[in-house]
Amino acid sequence: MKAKSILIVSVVALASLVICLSIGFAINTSKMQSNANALNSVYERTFYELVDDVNNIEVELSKLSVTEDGIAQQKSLTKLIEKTTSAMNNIAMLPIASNTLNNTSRFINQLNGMCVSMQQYDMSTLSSESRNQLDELYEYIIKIKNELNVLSRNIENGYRIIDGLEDQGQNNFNNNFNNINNESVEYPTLIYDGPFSDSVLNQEIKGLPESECTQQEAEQYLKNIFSSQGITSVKYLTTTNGKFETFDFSVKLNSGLEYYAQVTKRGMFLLTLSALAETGDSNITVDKGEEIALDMAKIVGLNDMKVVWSASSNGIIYVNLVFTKDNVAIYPDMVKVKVDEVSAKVVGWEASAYAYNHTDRTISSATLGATEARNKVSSKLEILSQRLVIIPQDYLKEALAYEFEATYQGYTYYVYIDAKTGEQLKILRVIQTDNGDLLL
Amino acid sequence: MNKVAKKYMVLLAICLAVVITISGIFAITFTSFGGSTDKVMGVATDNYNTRVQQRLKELGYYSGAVDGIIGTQTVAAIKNFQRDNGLNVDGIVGPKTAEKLGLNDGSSSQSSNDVYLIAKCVYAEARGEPYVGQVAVAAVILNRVKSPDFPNTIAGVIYQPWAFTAVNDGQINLEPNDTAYQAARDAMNGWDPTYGCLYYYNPEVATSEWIFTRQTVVTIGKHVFAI
Repeated sequence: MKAKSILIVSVVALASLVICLSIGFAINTSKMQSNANALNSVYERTFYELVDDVNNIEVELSKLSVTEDGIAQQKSLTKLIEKTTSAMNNIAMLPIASNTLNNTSRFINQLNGMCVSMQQYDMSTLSSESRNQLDELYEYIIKIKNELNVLSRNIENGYRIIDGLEDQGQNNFNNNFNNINNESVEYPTLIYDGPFSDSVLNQEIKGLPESECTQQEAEQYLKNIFSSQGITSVKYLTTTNGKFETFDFSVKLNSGLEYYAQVTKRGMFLLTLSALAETGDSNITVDKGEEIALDMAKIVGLNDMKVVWSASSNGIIYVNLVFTKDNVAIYPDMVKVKVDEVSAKVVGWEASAYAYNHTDRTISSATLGATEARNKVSSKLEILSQRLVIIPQDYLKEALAYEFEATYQGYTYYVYIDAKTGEQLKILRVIQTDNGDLLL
Repeated sequence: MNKVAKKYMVLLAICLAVVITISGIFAITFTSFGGSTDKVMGVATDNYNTRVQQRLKELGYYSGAVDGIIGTQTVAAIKNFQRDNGLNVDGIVGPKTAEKLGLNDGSSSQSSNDVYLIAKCVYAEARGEPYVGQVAVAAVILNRVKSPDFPNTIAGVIYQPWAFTAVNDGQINLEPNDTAYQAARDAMNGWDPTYGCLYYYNPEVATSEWIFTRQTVVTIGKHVFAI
């Protein structure tokens, strides 16, 4: 009798447990389902927006090919820029693995860059060359449109984008994008000056001599650089085959500091130093940091460098040095140096800009007088200092300009006026953040 | 009697089986959808939170510890402050409250966010790696932003589906340490030890065959960096 009541109690207890679990399970499932639906809706919205974008791009491209009027062409280009930007944003949000997307996104980004550049430089009407390029791109957009149509139909028939999430994008949805991606497009050689133009992507190295060094020579070169500081060891690690070919070493100094140092094979030049800075109280001023950075440049063999910018942030002094000639600061030839405020040692060196750009330039004289240039600056700004500089322009071009440091309502601005045309080339504002000063 | 007991035993066994099955399904569904979010919640040692507390303390609204953790005490202090200043009382430091508190960074917040996002990604993806390997991971993110093959913003690159495993498994929500911040800042300043790499992987655990077809540039620590 006793055994029986124990059994009854256990059965009742277990049964109620089952009921509780089932209820919990049901609630949980419905919660998850509503989360899943919400996520799927976001994906669908994104997808439909992408379809709209691509349709608009197609229509605009076809209109453009039969438009002769300059203003109408500009309007079409504006719309194309807007729609390609939106298409790029939407495509990046869809759950598609990046390797099935790279060609498509490159296409859209480059089309965008091409339109921007045509709008800036093809002011009156489009050249026949530009039009031919756009006509060739038109065929590709049709292919994208067709694949998107297939997907639209699938979604109309109940396909949920979210269902493909578990297999990391290896699903139907992904396959259609794969089709687009693998279309062999005859890309027109994109000779335009956009940020993604091929000439910018394959930037030429101008600042290094052609001669190549061996690994042993690079090691000796590093030993010479650090000899005054006491070297514990210099150990070869690997060779980097990126845009620069470098021999990479680990350099340990007697002070305990350890650098990852990269020396270019071509021209044997110290390209990078990286080391972790110590944390603690600052022992040096920013002025002292600048001095340490300039000394380092001299040891590396760069004698005509000048500090153009320095700032202290989170225990590190960042110093930007540029090459100067005839008192003109040449911004493209820049070396960035990091000095640790605790140990007063260089903990970072980055000279790729210098290696890319440094050449023996002949600096043409300014045709615009300093006072004339000053008059081009907004009268709201209170000018603190001015100097003649060469600044990098978009797409690897350079310009001689007057640099004005000025303030307005407590903010510091840098204004650049072209020393030939008087055009305002650039305006930057210094922004103070938790992470140091930034220029925007 | 014996028969009845047997009957109950069978019932008991069935019940047990059902419980086990349901618990099993429960566990599976939990991990497959969104379960990982509660695995790692950010331990708030946030700089900004500390500043909020410091400011509230100076103004006499808060008496607790300045520890960067926004708990009930801090929220109460924020609410009181908002009430006294004619703000919307929601206990959250939005732009208006921040301005009244004198913590407004103006338009700067956007760029600080970028460093924070990169630092989070670096910490989640490469915290055991040598320092230069962490700078390299940060540089890959920025190289992707510059490349036409990838999204054009830092957030776009980091949160691109399946681009970083740390985003999938929720480790991205761990709070980055100083080293990760330093690496992120270096990369933002132009340091790139890989000179243009767009990919990296750990050959010991990489599952995608596709990744092995990319041209290797350099190996730093456990990661192979490739174009």
